Amino acid sequence: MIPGWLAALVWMLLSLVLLLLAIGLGLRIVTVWRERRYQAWAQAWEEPFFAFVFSPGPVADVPSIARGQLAIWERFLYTYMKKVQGEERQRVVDLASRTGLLDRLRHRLERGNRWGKARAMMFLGLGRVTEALPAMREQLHSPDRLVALAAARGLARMGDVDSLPQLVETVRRRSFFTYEAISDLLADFGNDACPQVLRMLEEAVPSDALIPLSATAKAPQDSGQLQDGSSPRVEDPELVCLYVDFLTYFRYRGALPALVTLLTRTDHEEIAIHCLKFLEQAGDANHAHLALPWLRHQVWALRLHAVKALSATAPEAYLPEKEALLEDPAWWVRYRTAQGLALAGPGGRAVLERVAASSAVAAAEMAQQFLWVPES
Amino acid sequence: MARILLADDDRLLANMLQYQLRQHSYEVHWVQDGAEALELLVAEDWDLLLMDVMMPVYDGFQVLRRLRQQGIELPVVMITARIRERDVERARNLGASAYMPKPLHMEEVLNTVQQLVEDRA
Repeated sequence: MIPGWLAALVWMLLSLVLLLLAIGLGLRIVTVWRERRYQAWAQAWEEPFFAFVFSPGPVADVPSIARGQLAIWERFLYTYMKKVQGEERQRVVDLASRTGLLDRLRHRLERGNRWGKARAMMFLGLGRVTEALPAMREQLHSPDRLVALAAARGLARMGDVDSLPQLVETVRRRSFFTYEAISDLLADFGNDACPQVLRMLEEAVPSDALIPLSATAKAPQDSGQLQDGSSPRVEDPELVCLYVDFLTYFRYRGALPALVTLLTRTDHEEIAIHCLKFLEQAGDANHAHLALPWLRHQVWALRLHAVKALSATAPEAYLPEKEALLEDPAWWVRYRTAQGLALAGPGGRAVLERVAASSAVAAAEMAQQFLWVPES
Repeated sequence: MARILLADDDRLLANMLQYQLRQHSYEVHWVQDGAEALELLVAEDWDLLLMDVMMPVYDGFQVLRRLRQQGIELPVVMITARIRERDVERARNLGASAYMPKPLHMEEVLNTVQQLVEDRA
């Protein structure tokens, strides 16, 4: 005989499981139904939408096609807006305006719930609806993380380069904006923001860190130190790295003079690594020698980035320095050095062959591995 | 009528491209992965291949390499969100005729396609 309390417990558990299953099933049905509904509308709208966006001249009945379905219409337009740019994207925004969607989004930005605000800002930002700028700047200070992040993203997509310094200052005060999140945010501004970011970089480092060294001081043995033997102190190295990363991402050669100078003057390891990455991506043979002092640095990550920069900017030069690095205690440094030599033409391969036959075990092993790499 | 093979797993973008190309009197056939594209490229005659880089089964670079290995000298327009210099160079080395970044500028795509089709004719 099952005790009454046990039977009740089993019933309760069973009921709970059934309830959860019913909720899950219900949610699934709603999701599928909504998706099908979206697809059906999207299919119906595609033809007139394409005609409006891609054909010159307005299509008279376009504003009526989305009547009563603005939520689906918003998703439809946003999805397509991400696929096009320039004039075509502007026509999508025009369509949003004609159908009343922009008014609805602006209203939601003022009075909607957090998700509504976030979606509105992503749309308005991507569409570069500048009328929404003041409201979005205000939302950047929202205590709600989702809203603040969406505001930042929206402003970045808006490409309002003038607001960049204020945006960076604001987001860096909020702990949930990580380094990666801010990097992504900056990247959203696009390469038009490069000159502005360079100006911000110049403000973020002491002026003496960017004074070009004399021609004689540019020699490889230059220590990068100031006359009193110290190096310029950067107040916020993370911010500097962030800017250098951005300029590297877009390979902004306009930043080359400032960054190669910074590389020679800084003693901050992280900043040096980021400058070396920039040199690797945007430098040329004229700047290759700037990587040389870092080949002897005690931190292996710096030696690694120095050899990568050297291999990228002057693949066929500085062979003795590269040969010495094949005996580096760090595996990655040996690996990148050998890789650079393997791709550096006959001179590089000759070095690898000589080292491969030598008695330096670690260097010889690495050189042997890369002799298998095809020359071209 | 010039025949264009469009290889892209992004349905939305493919819809847009198909619409635009058909509006300009091209015959367009859409496939969603690299393997299917290769199969059709070998089996039928095409005037141009418009292809995404990131695709299932074979990516755009693999399709392009195999295409050239089989001696098919077809103009190829690569469309991609990967705008790194090394990717552009890789595409060029493999014999791509043009490399267009996403998000697309449709007019630019159309002009490029038109130019390449005319050159081939």
